[in-house]
Amino acid sequence: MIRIGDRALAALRRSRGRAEVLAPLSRSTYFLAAGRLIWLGVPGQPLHPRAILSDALPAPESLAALAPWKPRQPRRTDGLREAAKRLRPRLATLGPPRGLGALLFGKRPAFPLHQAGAALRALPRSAPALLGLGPGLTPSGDDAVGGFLFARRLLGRKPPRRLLALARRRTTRISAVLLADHAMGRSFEPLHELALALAEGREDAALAAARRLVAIGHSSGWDMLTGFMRGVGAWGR
Amino acid sequence: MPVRSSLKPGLYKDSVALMRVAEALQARPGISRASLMMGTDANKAILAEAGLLDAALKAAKPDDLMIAVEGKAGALDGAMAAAESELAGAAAPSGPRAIGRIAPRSIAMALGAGTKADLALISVPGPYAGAEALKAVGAGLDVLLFSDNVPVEQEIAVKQAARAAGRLVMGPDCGTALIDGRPLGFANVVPRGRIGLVAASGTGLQEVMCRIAAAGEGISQAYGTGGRDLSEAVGGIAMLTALERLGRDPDTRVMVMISKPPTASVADTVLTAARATGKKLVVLFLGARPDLPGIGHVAATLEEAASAAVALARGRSTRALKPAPAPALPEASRLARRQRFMRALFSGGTFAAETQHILATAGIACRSNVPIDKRLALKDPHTSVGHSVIDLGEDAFTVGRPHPMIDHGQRIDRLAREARDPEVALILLDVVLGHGSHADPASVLAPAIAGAKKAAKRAGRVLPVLGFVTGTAGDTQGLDRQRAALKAAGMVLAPTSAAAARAAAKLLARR
Repeated sequence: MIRIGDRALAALRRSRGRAEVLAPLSRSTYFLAAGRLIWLGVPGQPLHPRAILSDALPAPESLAALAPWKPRQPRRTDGLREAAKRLRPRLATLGPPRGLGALLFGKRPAFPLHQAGAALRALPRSAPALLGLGPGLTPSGDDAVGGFLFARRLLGRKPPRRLLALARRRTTRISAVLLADHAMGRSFEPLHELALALAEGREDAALAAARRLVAIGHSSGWDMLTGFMRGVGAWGR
Repeated sequence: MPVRSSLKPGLYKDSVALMRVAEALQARPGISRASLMMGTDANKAILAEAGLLDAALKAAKPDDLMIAVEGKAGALDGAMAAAESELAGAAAPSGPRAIGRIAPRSIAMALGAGTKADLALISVPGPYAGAEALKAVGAGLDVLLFSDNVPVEQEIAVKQAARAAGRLVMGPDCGTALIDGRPLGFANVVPRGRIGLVAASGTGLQEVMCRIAAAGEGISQAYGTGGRDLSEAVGGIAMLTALERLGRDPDTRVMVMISKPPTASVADTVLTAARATGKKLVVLFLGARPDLPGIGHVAATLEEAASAAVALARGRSTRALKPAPAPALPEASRLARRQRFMRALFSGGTFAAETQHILATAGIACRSNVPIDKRLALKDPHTSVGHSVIDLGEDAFTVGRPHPMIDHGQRIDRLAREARDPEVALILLDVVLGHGSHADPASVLAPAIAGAKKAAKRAGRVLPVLGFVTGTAGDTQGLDRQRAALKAAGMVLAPTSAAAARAAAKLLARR
């Protein structure tokens, strides 16, 4: 079964199914389709508006029939902060935190993220200092800022255009695109599920979503979770 | 110490690949530190602080990969060469990134590269799987069709074409096979031997193979057929081919057939073919024990099918097979009056069916998302009612997520939820080891079991957790280690899936 995000499908329809390989990674391949970033992941990975989860790119003639995934947004967010605060101690059941996730438990992240705690606490003012910080294609700092911006968008804040312009110079091309998505309230399926479950007061479902979220990448999921929890005000103030 | 660096413009790698390369470099003699990071300003500042930023790396741009290695002068050239080599290795495709680069993109390309293959394992989206299988059959290959959601018309067409060509199509939705000693999909490490199996059930096949191995016998071949093969529409085409192959196989002394009860006409066809081989035969039609003259043994459970096969292989009678002992549940005597219900959370669908049948025989009806009686279907698979048997490998739990044999996350969440229900008297779990399964299931399940028991204790209750491990001593997860860790967490271990169900029935009958 093909699962495809709405942005990935729109890009492929625009390019008539053609895509140019940008980056082949260990479990996914990034492409440019009509100049837009999309990626092909294996079934079982979390969805994203730009992701296609399948064993191959869909055939051009099949694009018209595909139904895209579009994240569902919570109707109300007034209980988000309190629900996130209640969830925080239960995050300890997710296993040892990676990346910036240590901050959720009052611990100092390991090198090279050891000095990032103060910047995360000082968000949004300190966001430029976190851009491009850390190993990997989407550095930990970007993922955490992304989670933060996603949360702020949920709470009605506008995307910070100057910060996003700065990100295009300070971090990798792929990470800058994902950061902009976060600022528009578009992210990986488990982060949407987490936000929805918290907003609806379904704490077990929220914990299950957080478990799926922290399974993303080496530390990306933990970094996004940490930024999200900071963004909704569940820690760091 | 001197530092050597290199820039790779526009080279993208994920964190896991870069860490693996860095670790490999640091493990080299004479190398003290190695770092591979994208050339962002923030990362350049980190390298500068660590004393690893030289003039070349200062010029890096965010989309450049920076490689910095520190060590003895004589070790640096070798380390940089190793970095190049490791990065090239990290580029070797292991997933869909193979498209258009290194891996063959079609069956024809793979065969054209000089591969001496005689089987294609196909895992593509269901609507395309039939066409790919037909290509493979056309190229003279057997097929293991891992894909699900394949239309039944495609299944019939592919299997008929394969039968005409003398080839075998296992599947669709076939997750387990052992061909010439090679495991395919989810499979355990078992010795080669004289018992051949053909099954329409993946975990059923694994459990029977593991029990046979535990009894000291081995497997000649184990074929999967896919769950629909014995339906009226498909007519058991794969089962017939597999039985004929086992019949011709000089290494196979006993044949075991496992499936749900087929319709009378299909049963007649496949049993006639099985008898025609002249070999000793064990039949398990899960949930039924029909009278089948001329069949070596008709079993009622997976455990019994394995025991009968072992007995027949050794030339012994199957009349006095003893069931494995059902373990005692010491906490049962301390259950509160309100605690009446069982919640079985399985990763293997066959275990869900077998447990329901054993409990039904004891007069205990269970609701399920894979009910043996449609009237007992759970309205919402995510919410248990009364005695509930859940197959977490069903679509409701696996669309877009790994199978619960690989990722226990959903099961752990469900376990925690069931543990908070004051009416729950027993949790029943399966743990499946082997190729394809989680690398260390006890490492995630044991804390969850201990946590569930602790949560119940805080609420003033005891919570028995019963389970069994489908695995062998040869599985990489370590059967003894897994069992010891689960036991230490408070799980009562049954020797087989059927013994676990019998122990559950015994407890529930008294509630």
